[in-house]
Amino acid sequence: MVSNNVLAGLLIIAIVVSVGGIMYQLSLPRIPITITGQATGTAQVQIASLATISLPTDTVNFGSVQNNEVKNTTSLDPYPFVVRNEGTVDINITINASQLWYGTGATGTSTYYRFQSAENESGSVPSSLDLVTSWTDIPIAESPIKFATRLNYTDTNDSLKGHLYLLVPSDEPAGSKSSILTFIASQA
Amino acid sequence: MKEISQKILIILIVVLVIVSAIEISLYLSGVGQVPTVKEFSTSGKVNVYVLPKPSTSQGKVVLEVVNQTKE
Repeated sequence: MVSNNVLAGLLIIAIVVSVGGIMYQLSLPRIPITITGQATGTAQVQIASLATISLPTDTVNFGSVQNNEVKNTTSLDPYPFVVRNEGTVDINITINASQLWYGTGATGTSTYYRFQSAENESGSVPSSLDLVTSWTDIPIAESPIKFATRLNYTDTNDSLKGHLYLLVPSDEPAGSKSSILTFIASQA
Repeated sequence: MKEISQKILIILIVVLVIVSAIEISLYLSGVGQVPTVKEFSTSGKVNVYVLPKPSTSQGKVVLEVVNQTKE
């Protein structure tokens, strides 16, 4: 025979659990409920937060260079990287890369391999402070650093240029060189 | 009669607690919620070809012109 006290305890537990569920529901975005003579309705949709980017220009070929030569993409030859926000929220982007050079003093993060960011479509970022407007050493196999912040997600102004600067080390061995640049996007 | 009713009541309450607890745990684990992608990365490639260094070196040609005498 179960006593009434046990029953009351179980009931209280059930009520607390149910009330907890209701309060959690109420903490979600609310649908207004009104009583009115007008025929109105509220459609609610929740858009997923997507921090996604693409590289419409994903390869930069500098062609043939000589030792001590300086090349960059600001003249659009070769064309720089283009980074586009494909998501549904403003994003921050960071950057790092794999090793490009093997010459003395250039195997790690150095002035021999640098970048800066610029708007590809005007209004893509709220302010020039959201860009990196001076040549900055690219981290080689290190933690990524700021490439841009608050990149817009609307289609007409959601892309940036990633300019590159190369200084060929004086003792760089001849041959083909390549480096993988990684752009990392996160919600702003 | 009274005892049977209480047993049914207990079973119903236990079921209610279990169902409610499962519902809350599903909400907290994100089941049924719109997925959120918070970080995404993509990569590009930089290519460059370093030409061989042009090599220059100097040599010296030594030549001595000897006067020939006709006999």
